[in-house]
Amino acid sequence: MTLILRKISRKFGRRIILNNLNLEVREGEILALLGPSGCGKSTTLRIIAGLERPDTGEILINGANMTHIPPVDRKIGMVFQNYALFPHLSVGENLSLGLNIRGVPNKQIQVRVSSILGLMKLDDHVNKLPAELSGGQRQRVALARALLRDPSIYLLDEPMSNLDAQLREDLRPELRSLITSENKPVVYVTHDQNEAMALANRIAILNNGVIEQIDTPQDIYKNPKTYFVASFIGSPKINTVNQSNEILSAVRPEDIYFSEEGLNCKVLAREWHGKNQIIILDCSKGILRMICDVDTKIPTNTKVSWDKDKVYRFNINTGKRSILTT
Amino acid sequence: MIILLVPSLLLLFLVFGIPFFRYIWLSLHSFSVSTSLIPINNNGANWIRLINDERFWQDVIQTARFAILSVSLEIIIALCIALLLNQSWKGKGLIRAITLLPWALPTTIMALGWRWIFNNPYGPIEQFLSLVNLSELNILSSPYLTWIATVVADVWKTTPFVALILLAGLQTIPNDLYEALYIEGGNARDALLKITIPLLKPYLFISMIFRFSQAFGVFDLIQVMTGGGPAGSTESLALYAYLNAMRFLDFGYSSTIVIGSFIILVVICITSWIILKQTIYLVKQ
Amino acid sequence: MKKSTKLWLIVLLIWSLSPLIWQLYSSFCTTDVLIKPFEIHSNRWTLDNYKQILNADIGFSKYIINSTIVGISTTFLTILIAIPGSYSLARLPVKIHNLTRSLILIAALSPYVLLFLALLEMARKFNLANNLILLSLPYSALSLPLALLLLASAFKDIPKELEEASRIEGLSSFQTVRFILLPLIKPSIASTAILVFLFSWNEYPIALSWLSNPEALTLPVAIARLAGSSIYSVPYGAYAAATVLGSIPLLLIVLIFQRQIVSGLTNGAIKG
Repeated sequence: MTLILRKISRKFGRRIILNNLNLEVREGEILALLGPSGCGKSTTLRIIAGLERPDTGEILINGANMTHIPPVDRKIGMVFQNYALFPHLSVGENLSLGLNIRGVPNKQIQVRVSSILGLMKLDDHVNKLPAELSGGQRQRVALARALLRDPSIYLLDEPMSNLDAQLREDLRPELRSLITSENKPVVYVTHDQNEAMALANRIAILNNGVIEQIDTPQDIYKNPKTYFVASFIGSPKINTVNQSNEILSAVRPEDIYFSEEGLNCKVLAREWHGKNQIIILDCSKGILRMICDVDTKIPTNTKVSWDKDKVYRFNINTGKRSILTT
Repeated sequence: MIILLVPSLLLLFLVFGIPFFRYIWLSLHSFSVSTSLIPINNNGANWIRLINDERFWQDVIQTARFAILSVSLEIIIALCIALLLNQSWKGKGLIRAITLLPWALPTTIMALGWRWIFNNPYGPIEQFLSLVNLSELNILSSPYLTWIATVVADVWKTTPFVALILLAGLQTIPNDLYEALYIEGGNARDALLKITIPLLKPYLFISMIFRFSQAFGVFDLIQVMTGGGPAGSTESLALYAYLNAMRFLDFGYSSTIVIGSFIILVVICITSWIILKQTIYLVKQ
Repeated sequence: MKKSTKLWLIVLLIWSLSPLIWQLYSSFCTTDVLIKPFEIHSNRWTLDNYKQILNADIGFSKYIINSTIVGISTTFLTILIAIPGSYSLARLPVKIHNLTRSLILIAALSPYVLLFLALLEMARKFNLANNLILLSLPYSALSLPLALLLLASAFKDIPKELEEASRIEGLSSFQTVRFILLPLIKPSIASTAILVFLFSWNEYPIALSWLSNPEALTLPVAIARLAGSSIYSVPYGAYAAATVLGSIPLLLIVLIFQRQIVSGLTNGAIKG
């Protein structure tokens, strides 16, 4: 099973939301759509689900053109950001509503609902209303509802954004195993790069309605194709160290180190992050951030340097990675 | 989707729209017993009559005076009630229900009640006045005092409604604003003048407009409580229009009064809107 | 509770209740007591006032039934029309929504009393007068602005995601309304229904012009007639009994549905 988007464009009035977007998600693959708010990632998801129509382009699921098919017939399992559980229905009713509507026999509904409740460890909560559940439980109900549909693809719209940080980490492996167990394409929208890195097989970075880069998490970080990707991924942000002849040079914080020779700077502040520390430096190029081991001492004569091969160069006008090696 | 709205709009047009045009048309015609109930175009004679009709202008003044005094009193008392009710204690619901009661009863029922309360010489108020040797006041037979009695009855009846709207407004004001003010050293008076009233302005405004236009069309209360008397001193525009239609069977002129009242109401609303906007502007400066 | 708060609460309760309590007191008094309250009477209390009202040619209960018929049919019709209307209003594009909303607001703000003559003409022309069920047509129209604004704001409060989730689950538009939206706006429907019922139960000027048959009068008209029959005549006891009887149903409604009334009025003010 695969999902293919071909030349999708969408405008709201004069504003271009998506511009000529191409995307392919293979079976068993989690593709994260990552980008700042307003980049078009939610619109993409809604177009795949059929909740919105693209102005041009087509959506293929398993090779079949779904562009003009209503959402219900696309066999979508969707988890909404706020879960969209029906607040007046109990957990059990939330799960069985769709099956009821589709005319699945009652006995079968019971079997399927109770097996999914067991799988999601929600057995004790069948008769509770969504408001009586914790955030994590609500998220599981929403996921259970998507799984019950036996969909061809999964669409997840920031499913973790309403959970606290600890819970997010706890739930990640569970979520990954659940959605990949069936070997179906998964599209995962998020604005959290850590989550995208942790969960996805590939990440598509969206900016202003255009995909800047699609790659594995490793490549997105190691080989950013545009300045936007380089600056969006990685925390603290990549440092701009030079700007000349339409070329912008940038170095990641972890590639900067103290040395005898190099750029003179002044320490502005230190932030402690467990095993690491972030040192904020002021130099002639502006503010630099370096990340280093917590034991690193700041020398009296603060000079920093970096290796030539760690420098990323971008064309200032196009934002594209430049292959020049000077 | 808009199709779903069609029945609503149709019914609204039937009951609000058509009458409006019908009134305008009727106001340009003689349509009464003397024309054997056949509408005859009278070239604006109704309007000339209206402009020269002292009783009409008298009623305009009486109606406006009634509306202005009642609405002002209602807003002030309602604000006090709302501030009182905007605290939490046990049994709040019951007290709110009791406060609401005057508003929920039919106007005619309470108008009848108030007529008895002000009755001369048997009502409790006149009985009390005679005890303190003020028996000559005769409130409901005095052209100078009767309208005050109608204002009292109207205030009693409609204040709960205004209070509830202001209460809703009060509940939208976040508590930290007051806490911030107290930390800055403000007192209860500052809280009222600097936070409560400014933030309540939209609600004060809504209830003022709504109540004013309702009070300007006052009918039930006057008809039952005083019948417009004594000596026409409490007659309202709606009552005058009603009498012209139902008692004098002069439908053309009645329609002219209706449209005339409507124009005056709109003019009053627009002028007060401009004045209010101006004062708000000046305050901001 | 502070002492001063308590004091003001008592003042508020006296202000709200004393006219009603006076009516209640008067209704049980003999005529002599009402005329000379400060003298000593051997027979103070009586039920004659109530007997007189209930045994009149047209029993008082008839008016209560009439008002109830008008109230229920108006409420039913209004809600029936307002639910689809408000849903559409809530989902209209912003510009059309605002325009429609202002038109409805103007209708809600205009003093409807002035409509009586034109409505009377219509009633005569189409032979609608004296029919209690048909009286619910103008009443529904008069309550529609409030109903539309209240329900539209309730619909707008439902997150769009819920409707989308239900579409993905395969519910048709009708099923979405039936199983998802209506259950969710039930509280608002209840508030609206009670406000509409109160309005149509209490309405006077339109009923006055539509209803002339003594058998068909609603309670407010009947009471006003009672009053109009003899402005200066005493005894008053019978009037008092009538007002007490006429108030009881409303008293119950307010006490039972206080919460819905309050939320309806406040939502109407805030969001309408």
